[in-house]
Amino acid sequence: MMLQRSGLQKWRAGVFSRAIVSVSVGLFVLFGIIPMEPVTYLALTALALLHYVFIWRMSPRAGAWLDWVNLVFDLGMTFALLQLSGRTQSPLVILVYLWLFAMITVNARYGELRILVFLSALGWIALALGALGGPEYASYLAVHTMGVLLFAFTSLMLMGERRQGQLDPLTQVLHRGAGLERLAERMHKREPFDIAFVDLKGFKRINDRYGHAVGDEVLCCLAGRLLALVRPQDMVMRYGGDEFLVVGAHGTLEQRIGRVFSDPVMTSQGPIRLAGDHGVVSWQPGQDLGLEALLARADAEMYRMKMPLSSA
Amino acid sequence: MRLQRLRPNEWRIHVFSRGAVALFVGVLTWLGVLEMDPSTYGFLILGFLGYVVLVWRAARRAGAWLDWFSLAFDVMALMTVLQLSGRTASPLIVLVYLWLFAKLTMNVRQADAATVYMLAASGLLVLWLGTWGDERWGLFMSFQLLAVVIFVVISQTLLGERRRNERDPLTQVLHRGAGLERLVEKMKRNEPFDLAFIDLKGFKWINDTYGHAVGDEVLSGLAGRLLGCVRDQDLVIRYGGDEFLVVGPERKLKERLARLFSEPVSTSRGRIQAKGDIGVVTWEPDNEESLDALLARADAAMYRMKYTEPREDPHEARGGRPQRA
Repeated sequence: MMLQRSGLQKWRAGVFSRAIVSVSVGLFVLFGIIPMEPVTYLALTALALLHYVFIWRMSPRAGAWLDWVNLVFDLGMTFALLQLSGRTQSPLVILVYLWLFAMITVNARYGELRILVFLSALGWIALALGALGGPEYASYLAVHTMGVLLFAFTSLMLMGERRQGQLDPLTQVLHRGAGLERLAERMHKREPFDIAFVDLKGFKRINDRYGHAVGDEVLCCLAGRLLALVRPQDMVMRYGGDEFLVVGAHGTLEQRIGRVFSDPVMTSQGPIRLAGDHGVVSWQPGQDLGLEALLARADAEMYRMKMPLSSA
Repeated sequence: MRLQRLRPNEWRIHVFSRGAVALFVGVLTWLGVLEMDPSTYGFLILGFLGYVVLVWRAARRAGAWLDWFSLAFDVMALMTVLQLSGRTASPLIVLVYLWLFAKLTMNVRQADAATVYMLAASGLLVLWLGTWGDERWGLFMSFQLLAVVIFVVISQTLLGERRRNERDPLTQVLHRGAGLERLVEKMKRNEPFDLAFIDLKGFKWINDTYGHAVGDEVLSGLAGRLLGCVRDQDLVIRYGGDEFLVVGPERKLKERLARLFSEPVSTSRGRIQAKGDIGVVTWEPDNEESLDALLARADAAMYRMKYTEPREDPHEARGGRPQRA
């Protein structure tokens, strides 16, 4: 399970929203809405400032651990705020839900259910521990257990939307933007893989002769075949109109791809024979090859296959 | 400002989640956590059941009023529950925020900021009316105001993501799924419009000659030109690899698109003369044409143009070749 690294923009939003919270908590303390000692408030604010100075210094070169430090800090801060502002009676309970909402929006970008469950559990723990020792604790806990469950249930819609948003609407494989993002992440994980560039030949002609509807059927069928070639953890993406990228197990992709154009495709206008080119290259972690360079190499590999055929 | 229509299968989730809340409030009342009379709870449940029956009967063929009606029902129900369960001291305040979150997820699919403000305002209205009559009301509301503002700030991240997800990553115009969805909505609003089907000629040849990177530049350049041809409320959709759909003003789209291919597109490999076919058809609200029929008609209009226009070069008949300018 991994938290998505936040970009600089999102860090700024995070700092900004936490600053709003701390300023308004300060106002509430000043007006006596929250039963908290001003000294305690100042100490908490100083701690938060220190935390942000630390993050400011570390963020340009820190790894994923910084996001985890941030998460732990948020939890500790929520716990302290709830304990100091009235436990089960605290009006700041809402902040835990707003925090959950913000965390789900920024993380779980691919709609991962594990992250949703993990964050909901953390929110529940913050609510439970933060109010520990307050009056009517049992009913408080019952209400907020329901609250967190409802939150998780509602987030399922968002997770489904995000998973669907990753896919090309026509062929239901990853679209270019989402696919390239995941490919870049895979390169960060430093495992070797093979990547194939698959280019359908004569797609324009199919479209012109049978109509766009049949062209769409051909694309869907080809995408389905490519999905069937690879394992669940591999990727198929629609790179352009009639171009696909396939990322698969190291060393085996070339022979698997070879058969993809061998059978004709069944469409509503009868079987259509397909032809296409593909170029396969291997990526190894030691190579230090960027995403752009890797794609250019796969493209070039495909043209090497294409050119001798068309000149013959 | 517009609530997005729920689809029939989403109504099921809508009713189900409200049922779960009702059940839970019942359990809390039974356990004595909420200071509510069991008979009051019984009346509330009757009201809820009436709502469920109405939604059940109406969801399939109702217009937008059902979505607004359900919003009004939610506001009333939440307000009543807050009033009956302890006002500012009610532990159910959190339901208002969960409701806001659910509404945002399901009803603001097209990232419409105005709808988010409207929802936030109705949330505040619920909190205001639901806790009306308590002594510490002013202090309570100042805190809730802050929380709703934070909610709106956080929503902006989600809205930004949704706006990006509607776009084709390469050309930044609407992608096919989002575009066709909007086109259907436009047809439901019963305003006439022109639809153009644009098919780039010889795009394959550009890709093969200059490489995919240059092909991408040509597509982006054309998409930018199309956006420049139409008004803000019109749609530009990347329909397929090298096909675009443009929805524009009635009977004026053809002349607006007339100069689309007159200038070559600047790329990193020099200026490339792109060519293409355009089929424009007009949609009128009263001829009851479906989306598929309309698209087929635009496609056919484009093919008429493709096979009737003068050919300068024998290659044109088969796909055609753009010239380097």
